[in-house]
Amino acid sequence: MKNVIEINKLTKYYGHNRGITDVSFDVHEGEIFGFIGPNGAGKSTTIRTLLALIYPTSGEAKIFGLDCIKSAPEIAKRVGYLPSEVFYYDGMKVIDLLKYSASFYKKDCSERIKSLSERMNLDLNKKIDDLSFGNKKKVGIVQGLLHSPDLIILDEPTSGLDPLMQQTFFNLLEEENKRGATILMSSHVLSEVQRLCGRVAIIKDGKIVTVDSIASLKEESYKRFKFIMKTEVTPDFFNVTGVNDLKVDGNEHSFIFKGDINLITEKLSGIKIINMWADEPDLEEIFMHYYSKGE
Amino acid sequence: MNIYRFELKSNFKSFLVWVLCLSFVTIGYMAFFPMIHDSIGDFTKMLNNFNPILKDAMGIATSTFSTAIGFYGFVFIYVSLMMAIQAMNLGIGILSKEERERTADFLITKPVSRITIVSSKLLAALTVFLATDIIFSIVTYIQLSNISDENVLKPYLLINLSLLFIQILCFSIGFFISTILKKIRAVLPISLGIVFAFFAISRFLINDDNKVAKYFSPFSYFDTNKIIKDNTLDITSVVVFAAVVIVCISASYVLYHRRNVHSV
Repeated sequence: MKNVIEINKLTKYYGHNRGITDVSFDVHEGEIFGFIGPNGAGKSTTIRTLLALIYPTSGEAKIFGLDCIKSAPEIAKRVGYLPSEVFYYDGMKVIDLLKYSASFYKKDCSERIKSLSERMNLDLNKKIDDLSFGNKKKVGIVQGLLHSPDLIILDEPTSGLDPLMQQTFFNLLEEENKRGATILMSSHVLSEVQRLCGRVAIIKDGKIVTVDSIASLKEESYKRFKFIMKTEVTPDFFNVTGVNDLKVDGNEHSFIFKGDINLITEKLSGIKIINMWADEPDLEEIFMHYYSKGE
Repeated sequence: MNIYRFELKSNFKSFLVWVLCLSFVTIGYMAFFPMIHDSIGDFTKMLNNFNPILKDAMGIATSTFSTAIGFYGFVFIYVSLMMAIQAMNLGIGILSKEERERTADFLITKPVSRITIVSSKLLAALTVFLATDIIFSIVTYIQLSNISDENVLKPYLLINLSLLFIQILCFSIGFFISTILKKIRAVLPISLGIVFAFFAISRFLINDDNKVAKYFSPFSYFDTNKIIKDNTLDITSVVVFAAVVIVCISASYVLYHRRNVHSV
């Protein structure tokens, strides 16, 4: 399988402060790849290095087999980028900005501009300054896709979009993907990553913790449980294999569990509970798990 | 070329305001000349009572008020001050605005090299200066030729050529500064500060005895009274000017090429 992005020991320090350390992963041609981690973990630093906005301290990254720093303009012809926060020149109309954007690519993008903005329900004749955050984001989306890029890089793409528009946007991304575009998206919202991505890389404190397919992450299937007990039990009642991050507060027991759920239900059979919750743990919690594993 | 066109478009309004204001203010000042000329005897007497240092500081030479071009040379000091502010503003602002207004991500992730970005912006600024100077020169010359008894086209053009040099010099210095600084929140305070510092240096600290010091302020590279007298530009100043501009601009290219563009 061909790799569209190859990142090899990419490291970036801001002075003495860590940005990212030895980040390595590959993104295959035609896949939707998720890049997840909490804020400040290094997602944006990695993406900004790929886009040659910042320079790596060491290591390298290749896009389409070309060095991402040396061949940045060449690579950019085939890349569409949507930043997490979108700001555009003062006093411009949406259509002017999109035309300016299109003028950088040596092809006619007017049809795409039209169809994309219709899809996203974007008024081309409004001034960008007057748009709401979500509508500005739409300008960013159209701007990032108008030249039919082979690689789409998205940094926190859905913040600010209402659920309906998110849906449209995800459908759009899936169509782009079917057209042949490879997609790299960073996010801290696990559900959207699970919905779209085939594989993910998890980053924490500037280091890649794991690179895995969504399918196998799901196999590992973490659940967060919380019980309020009626029957008095010992604090280590739930301390069985697969339980992590066990917290006991009076008769309230909470933990993250990975493994055969029947293990837990069997434990419950002999006792009485007042209430129980079973959730997908949020990313932060899965993260904590990976984090404690490393220590 | 699209960046160049875009820059011209976005700078057009401010260019128009500058060139119109400057032209009208200069015409207004020049309109006083016939009046002063008529009572030149009293006027010279009064000026001779001035402290010589003050006279120097205000750019008044003995010949200043006796001829129209001499008077223009006097007005020119303040014209050049204004033009220098415009140039410094543009120099500090034209590149840094992308990061200040957070559009740098947009521009740099487009298929253009940073070299092209810098070159387009330099070219746009140069176009603005040339357009400003040409329009200003034509408008002002119409009036100057009306009030002047002799043909002053050559010294007039030389003086205005030195204006272009001052603009380019201020612009280059500003451009260089903008690539050194990590973040510029507001352009105007910085550019005003620097230009007024240069102006003060040229007015109060530099005199003819000091041959090197004059290169520390863009305003003192070319002395208008001297241009009128010699009818030529000081060649050493031209060489130093070129050297400073080349150093500033090449350094800017290198610095911007290596620059880390951070998100906010």
